[in-house]
Amino acid sequence: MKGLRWPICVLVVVLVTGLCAWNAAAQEVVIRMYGGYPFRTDGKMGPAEVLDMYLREYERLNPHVKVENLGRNLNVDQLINLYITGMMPDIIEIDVKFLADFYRLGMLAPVPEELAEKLRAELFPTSVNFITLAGRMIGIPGENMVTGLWYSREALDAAGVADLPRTVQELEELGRRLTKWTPDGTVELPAMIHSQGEWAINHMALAMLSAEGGRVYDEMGQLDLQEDILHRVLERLVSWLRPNSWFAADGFKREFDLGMVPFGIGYPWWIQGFDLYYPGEDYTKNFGVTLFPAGADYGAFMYAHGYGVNNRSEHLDEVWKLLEWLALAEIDGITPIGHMMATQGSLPNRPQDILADPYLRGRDIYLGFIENLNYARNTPDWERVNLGGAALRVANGEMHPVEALEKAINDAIEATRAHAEWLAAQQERQ
Amino acid sequence: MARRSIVLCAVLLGLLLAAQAASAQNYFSVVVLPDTQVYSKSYPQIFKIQTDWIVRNAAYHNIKFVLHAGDVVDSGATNPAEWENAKAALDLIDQAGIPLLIAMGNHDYDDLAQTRSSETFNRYFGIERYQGKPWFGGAFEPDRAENVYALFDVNGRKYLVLVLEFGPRDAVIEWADGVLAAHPDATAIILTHSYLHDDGMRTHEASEWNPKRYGLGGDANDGEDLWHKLIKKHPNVRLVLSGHTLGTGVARRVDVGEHGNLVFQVLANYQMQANGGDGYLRLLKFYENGNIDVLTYSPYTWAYKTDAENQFVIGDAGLAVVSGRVMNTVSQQGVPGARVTLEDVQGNVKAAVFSDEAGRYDLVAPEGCYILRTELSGYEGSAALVATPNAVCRPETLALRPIGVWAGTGRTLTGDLAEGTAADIVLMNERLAMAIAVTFDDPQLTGVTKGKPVDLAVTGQADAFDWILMPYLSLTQPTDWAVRTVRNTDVAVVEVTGEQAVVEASGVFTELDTVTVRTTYTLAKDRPWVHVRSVITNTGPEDVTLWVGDVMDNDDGTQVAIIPGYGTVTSGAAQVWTPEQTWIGQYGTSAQAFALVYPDRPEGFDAFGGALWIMSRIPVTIPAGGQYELNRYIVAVPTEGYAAKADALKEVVAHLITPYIWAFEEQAEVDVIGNDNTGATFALSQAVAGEGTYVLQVTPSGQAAETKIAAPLSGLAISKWTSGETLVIRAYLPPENEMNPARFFLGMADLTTGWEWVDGVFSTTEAQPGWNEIRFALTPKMRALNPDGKYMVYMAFIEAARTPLVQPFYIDHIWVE
Repeated sequence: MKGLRWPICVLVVVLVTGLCAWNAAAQEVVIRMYGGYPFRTDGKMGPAEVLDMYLREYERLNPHVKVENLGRNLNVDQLINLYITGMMPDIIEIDVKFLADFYRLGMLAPVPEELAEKLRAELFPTSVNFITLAGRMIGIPGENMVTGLWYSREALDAAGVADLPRTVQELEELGRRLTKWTPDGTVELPAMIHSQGEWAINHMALAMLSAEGGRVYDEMGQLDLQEDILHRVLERLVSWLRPNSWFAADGFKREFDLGMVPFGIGYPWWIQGFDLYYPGEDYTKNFGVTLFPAGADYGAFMYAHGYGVNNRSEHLDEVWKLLEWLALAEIDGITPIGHMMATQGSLPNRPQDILADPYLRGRDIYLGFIENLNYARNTPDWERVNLGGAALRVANGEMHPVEALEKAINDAIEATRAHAEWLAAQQERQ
Repeated sequence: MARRSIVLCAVLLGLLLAAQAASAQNYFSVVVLPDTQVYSKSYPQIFKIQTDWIVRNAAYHNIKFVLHAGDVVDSGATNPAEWENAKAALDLIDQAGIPLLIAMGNHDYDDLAQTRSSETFNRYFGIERYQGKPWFGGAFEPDRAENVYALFDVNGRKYLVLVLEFGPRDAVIEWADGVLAAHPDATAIILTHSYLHDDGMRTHEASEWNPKRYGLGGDANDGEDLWHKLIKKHPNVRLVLSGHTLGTGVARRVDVGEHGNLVFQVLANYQMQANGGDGYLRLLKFYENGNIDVLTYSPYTWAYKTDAENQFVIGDAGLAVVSGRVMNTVSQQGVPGARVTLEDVQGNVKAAVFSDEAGRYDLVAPEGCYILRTELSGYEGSAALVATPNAVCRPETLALRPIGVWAGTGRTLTGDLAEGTAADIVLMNERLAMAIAVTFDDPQLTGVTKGKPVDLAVTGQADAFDWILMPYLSLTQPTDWAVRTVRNTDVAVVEVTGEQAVVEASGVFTELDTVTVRTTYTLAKDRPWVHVRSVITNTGPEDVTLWVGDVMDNDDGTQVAIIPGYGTVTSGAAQVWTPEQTWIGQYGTSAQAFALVYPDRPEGFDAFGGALWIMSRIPVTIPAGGQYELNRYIVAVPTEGYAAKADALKEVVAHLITPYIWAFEEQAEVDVIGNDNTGATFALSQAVAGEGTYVLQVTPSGQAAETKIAAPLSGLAISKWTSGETLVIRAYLPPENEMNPARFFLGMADLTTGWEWVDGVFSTTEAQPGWNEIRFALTPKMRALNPDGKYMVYMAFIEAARTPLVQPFYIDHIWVE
């Protein structure tokens, strides 16, 4: 019996050592995330490639963490199904309006208050507020887009215009003065364009609504459209959108890119068009962005994406640690998310990021949009109401103004009701 | 620290700009309500929408006062409801404390201006509306509101608004003369219902709707009288506003007063338009520099009118005066009443005036080079080229304006075969000319020539036809051309615009008088064809079975007929033909070829005849009380060699027979399209079932964010393109594809003289897997194409996130509707 003691001891030591090694391996954390952007096929650095670069750096700094970037998934139904079946990744990137719904459905964990405090201190207030629901941040701000009034210095100089419009009356007056009409009233070259899509018209309509002191929902989420304000906004917008108005409901984007059209209501990503088509040496010398006199005040409309965290994640602490690093860590003067946004043509969320090299080209333009952030008073839910569609129906002659007001309100009620029903149905699925 | 400062500066700059966004306006506005009579009578809600808008927008537009140009109501004293409606609307302005002055129109008199009885007007809108108001100046008659004036002080400048009755009496003019003279420091605006005609002339003896033609008495004055007796004498008169005149309802002119002041005179009246004017009103913005922006807006439709007669700037800058005297060359005396005009080089009258008692005239027009014309009945007219002081005339810039499209009498076609006279109607554009008989009676068509084409040629060439019997009807299948059975009783030009002309003929079927025929000939600008539509109506109690069709008789030398499937027919012997397609053609020795094309492909269609004449035959049964519509195109195209004449028709006929711009049924169509450097490849395919035999398979490169088709557009396809407003791509997006295009862009470049971007537009169609009709609303620039130009159309197919597409998708047809 005594002869067996040593072999048994050796066996015990081996087993204990093996168990320790197995345990160490089990402590490696794997975080799965929808990074929000597809990988490019042309070898260039897009936001997905930038994100991947930082994730690898994070893994280097945190050897026990492995992050799988699953690309993009914007399919709301699929994401809900993944959650129900327990397969939703730890992090999802999507439009904040959907994050808000996911949060209402109980799918997301709120940002820990300690991290939220840091974000409130470091990021633009609009970036934080936009992703805050009932006082809690529901995710980390990502893509940050806001409307602004683009202008072309060449077009304004050619018309002898020195001052940018500060009131909506001045904008309308300049618009008429700078539009080129044929004698029969057909527009040859308008004074202002937009992004060419009903959604873009809607963003503009909602910006005009807020400029007139209106809103879509109150603090409790109840529909709060005021008819007199709605009337003012729809009438003004329709009169602008009518055929042969100074504001082109369709087309002329290429002329804008060429510097020929004085004004445009658009987004930071229009820069991509200038890169392609502007004939001058440096588009940043010609194009600028200022505030949009949209009514009684300036107006802007914001939409944003964010990173939400699956509340069933097994590594919540590690997930928030990663997101904090992506949102706030400064590497060569910019945060990882800020670098992604610069590549995407989006505004940063951390003000200092604008000073870093990735934002060097077109920085003044981005600063113009940042000013507009001050006038973006909407919440993500506003987009549920399609005022732009109502305006377009009237402008295109499909509906008379007399019907439009009533229909816009009824449609808003219906959209709100349908959304509530959808939320309830999703709740039931879970 | 420095970085934070920059950001802070940006934020502060934003706040600073916001603070500056105060509504410091450098203008005030005046609203002019043109004739509201139809609203008061039939659309009171529109009247209220107008006045409610004025109240709601008074601050926004800085509206200082409102002027009503008269004809508040329609029916005089006979319909109190109209007055109540008008009062309900106008009370809104009064209640808001906005000054409102109302001119009295002829319809506002108790008896529609058969006398000057105005009891009802004064009961509803009498002098008490003005009394006690700080801006009220006074009235011609202390207890009546027809002639009043008001004084406004705006931004330190004084304005006098003088309201005069319809056809003001001499005594009123005398009173007005005193008012204007008493306020020399006030800029005067005169408001009177009738003053300017829609031809830009002040109402004069020969004008329609002249106040002197009502029952107002011998001392009523028209616009021309007012100018000479009152307006031109006062240096402070700046603006004259009026309504009343129908026609286009809009006009403006500027004249120089005796003191050198420019007087702007403006007519606006929309009562003849939809809904009694669709709510349009005039918004006049008075700027500090003296300019007045004139806008025309409808609070009812939320739309501005943007043409030059409805949106313009009133101001002195850039205007010049051309003065002179019209002389009788025999008596050497001045000639009064001669019409003197300034025309620009395109022949547009820019200013017109009648010479005064001494033959003098003053014309005001923008600086430029003009043709000065003088006309008066009993005199030979004269013309001269004149330049205003700061303009340089270049006679070589004078140009002939193309006719566009024309229809009327007084012209004939050329050539030995031409038979139509000046009393017959000629339809003509730059491509073809055709005479339709009104009085000419062809010996072969005795009694039934009226309303039928008797001459036809490519524009600039000689007539090649004897006649086209269009249509004939027969109760039996015809076996001879002589089917003289449709006798038109009326033929007239019913429409001539710059874009198209329409002639209409109507008559009866002589074999059965319960069958009537109405034929319309429509010729559009730049089209080498006339669209002919005959509506045959059976008014009788029984179904009628008929043969219908047309006979064409080309008498050009060495006649030849063209029958699809048979080629050219040179024999004159008549026989039955069964054409492969529903058209027939003819040509002769001149450099032109002709066809009759039946786009509806009528069932039972055949042809009968030979080289000398050829006819179509279509069996039809028209139910009792029913109609049959026969559509066809008369085509005339220029040709080169004799052998190529049939070929010359091919493109036009193919265009008229198929509705598609790109059908993608032949390899030749695929061979000419490109991918605009996106690497996409194209092939005809039968992989999915389209409407034709083939579809176009588009295989993306997998490398480019946009998959593009670049398709050339020229020739007749341009007319198909410009015939509609929406381009439609019928596309199949395979459901099994991992990715399909979700955004669609349509762009266009002009390749006529190089490469110049035309315009582009995104589709709003939300495509689904499977078949889709992807629609693009063509922009004005994309519709205004040069028919002789060459264009490239770019169709881009883009994945929602601009991820390069990989798998094929399919396109069936592309058309414009």
